[in-house]
Amino acid sequence: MLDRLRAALSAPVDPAGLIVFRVGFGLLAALSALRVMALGWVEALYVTPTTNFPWIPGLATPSPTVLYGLFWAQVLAGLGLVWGRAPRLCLAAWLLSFGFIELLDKSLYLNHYVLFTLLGLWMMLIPLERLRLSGGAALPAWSLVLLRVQVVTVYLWAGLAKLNADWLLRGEPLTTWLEARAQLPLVGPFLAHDVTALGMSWAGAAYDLSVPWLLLHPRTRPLGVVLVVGFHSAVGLLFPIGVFPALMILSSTLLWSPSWPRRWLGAWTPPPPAPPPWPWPPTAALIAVILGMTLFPGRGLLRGEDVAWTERGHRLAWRVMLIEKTGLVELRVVERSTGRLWRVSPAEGLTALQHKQLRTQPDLIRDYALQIKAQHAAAGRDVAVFAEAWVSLNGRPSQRLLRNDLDLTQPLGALDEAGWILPRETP
Amino acid sequence: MRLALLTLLGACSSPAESPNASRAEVVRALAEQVAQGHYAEFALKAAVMHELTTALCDHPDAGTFAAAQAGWWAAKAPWARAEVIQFGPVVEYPERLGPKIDDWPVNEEAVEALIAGEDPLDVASFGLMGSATRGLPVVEHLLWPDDADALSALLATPRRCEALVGASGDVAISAERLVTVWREDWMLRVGQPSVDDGDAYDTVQDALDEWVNRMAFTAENIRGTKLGAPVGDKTGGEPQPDLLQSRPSGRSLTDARDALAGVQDLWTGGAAESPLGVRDLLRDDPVLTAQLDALFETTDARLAELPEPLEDTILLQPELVARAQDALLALQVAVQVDLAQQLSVTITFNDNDGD
Repeated sequence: MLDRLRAALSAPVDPAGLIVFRVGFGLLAALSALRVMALGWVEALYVTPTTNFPWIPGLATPSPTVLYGLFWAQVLAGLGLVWGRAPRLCLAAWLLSFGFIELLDKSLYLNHYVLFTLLGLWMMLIPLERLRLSGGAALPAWSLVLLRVQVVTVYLWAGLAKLNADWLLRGEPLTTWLEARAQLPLVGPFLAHDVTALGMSWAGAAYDLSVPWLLLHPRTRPLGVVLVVGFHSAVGLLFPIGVFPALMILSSTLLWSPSWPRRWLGAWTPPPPAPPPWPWPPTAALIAVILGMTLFPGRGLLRGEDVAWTERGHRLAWRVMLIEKTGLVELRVVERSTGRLWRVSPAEGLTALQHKQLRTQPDLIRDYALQIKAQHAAAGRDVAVFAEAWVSLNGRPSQRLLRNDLDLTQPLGALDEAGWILPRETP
Repeated sequence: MRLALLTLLGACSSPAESPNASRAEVVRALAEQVAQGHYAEFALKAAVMHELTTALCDHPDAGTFAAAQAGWWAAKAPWARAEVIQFGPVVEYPERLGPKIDDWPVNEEAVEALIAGEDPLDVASFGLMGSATRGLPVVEHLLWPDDADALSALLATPRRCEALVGASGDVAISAERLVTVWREDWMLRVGQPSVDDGDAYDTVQDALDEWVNRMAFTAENIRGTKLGAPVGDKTGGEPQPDLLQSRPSGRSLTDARDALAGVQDLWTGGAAESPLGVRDLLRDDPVLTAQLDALFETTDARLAELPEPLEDTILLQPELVARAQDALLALQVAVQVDLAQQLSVTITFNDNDGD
């Protein structure tokens, strides 16, 4: 069986579909970077903030000149991918630039940017130089498998995450979101209807869990395509989610027949000699990568807690559209030696977007507490930082998110042991 | 296709009975009744204040002086109550009337230099001045000067009385302008965004977001700016009485209570004949409604418990101030977290956060 697997992974695959994907990917990469610059987001998200929440401690935001240089590098790299010359160099440039920008601030986390990054990362592994239409060029099947597993993983975890009482029984958070759109012309009254949110919730879960299979099978593919385009277009119209719909529609083409563009490009003939089975080491590495990408999103389940509430294991897990949270945080800073007290509203030092994210996310609150401690340490004061934090999740009454008697600047292990994140009270 | 399917779904079943007022009705009522009501009352009281300061300078005695002070105090009430409306013509250009009416703290040195100088001090002249030397804080400074008997000072220096009449008249004109601009422009922009083709608010929800955000921000400002900063929240517990608003007149606490009443007006719909407020969007949620009703009551009671003047209380009984702050925080949580969650309101950014 393993020999058959190795043979299947090395089987030649028509590169036409991946060429279209590469072109679309490059276009999206360029447009996304241009959009960020055109909308003034480089200033608003990276230049204006006086503090950030880096994924790597100490990672500082570069100067505006460097930032703009990185975004222009993304534009050029994207266009290079469209053109198709030196695709690996272009992709590497895009990945370094895009990935670096993403690492600058946790509060700017977006699932589809992670998907964008991962798809780029996996494309780096495949033989991009063989993405040619002529000369009987072919790709080894594992190239397509890698990308396909990534796309299927997103849909499946997104669907599995929706199998909960909030989504299926209460129709939340869609009920709350759609009620706010009741004044839209024509569709407004229907969007605000009780049945609508519940129906959309069930349909959304069914969509996520079924659409990869609909797209993979030739007989159901037309239905899958209609659903993908319809779903993502509707979501894109209703919610401000940027390039996400375009990225998902583009990614869905990876699940089509790899020869789908041949309708317009002429037939593809596989190269005559069958390639040898893939060697063991890369096969094992591929299996490891696939296991990692498919299992890592489920890590939140290991804690046996409500990930939507604690947000431990929420990021990098394809948990999309699941939570409507509002919150309020105030920090009490107490000097250990004197007992002097400062009250700090995080809003005072953060941008609106950073503050919005921090208000409901425990790790960001703790990161900010550490920053406050460092500021006082610079002034020669040793302080403890406590949080008054309230959060409401999916229409529930507000409750405390964190214990307010624990110094958040303690090591994370000590905080976890002390149960710093309070459990959700309302079922 | 999906929307069509949803449309079909909706059409095939009867709409749910909702006892709630519609968001469109509420945002319209807040703009046309609550905001317009506050501004109209402020214009009325500001005109009275101007009449009383004029009467004081025409016939200066203890009676006209006390009446002028009462006139300022009364004009401050609707203005403080309208503090929750920190958008529209009070902050937006070209009018940007807020700083012209109340740019606190007053630049006392500039005002005294103005009086000591030779520039004209009539109403029109004040209308051309920068915000540092005009508005309610200037009138307050002239009626409650530091270290001086105000009436004697007014009698001793005719230009001081001229400045009082000019500054109060300028406030009255700005207040009238505020009413006009709100009625002719912003009332439609905020109250009926779907009818107005301006760019202020695209949808009714955008306008509702603005009102609910302002409710939360004002509660936060009372807690943090009117009480917290003076009691020393930003300075490690070191009291900062200079940061008390309306300190010379001793109206700091009353300002805070009026501002809270303004927030409550948005909640209840205020004193209109048929009040319609944010509360009416939650008729189907009696628990949250009762919770917010109780919190408004408790918070005002906590503020009322603070002994006057607030300047002494922050120094001598900061624990009472902390109790009031705790009540305000609970109110803010209910508005910013629970109410916002129920109404799918996006909490944005308090303008004071940039300070």
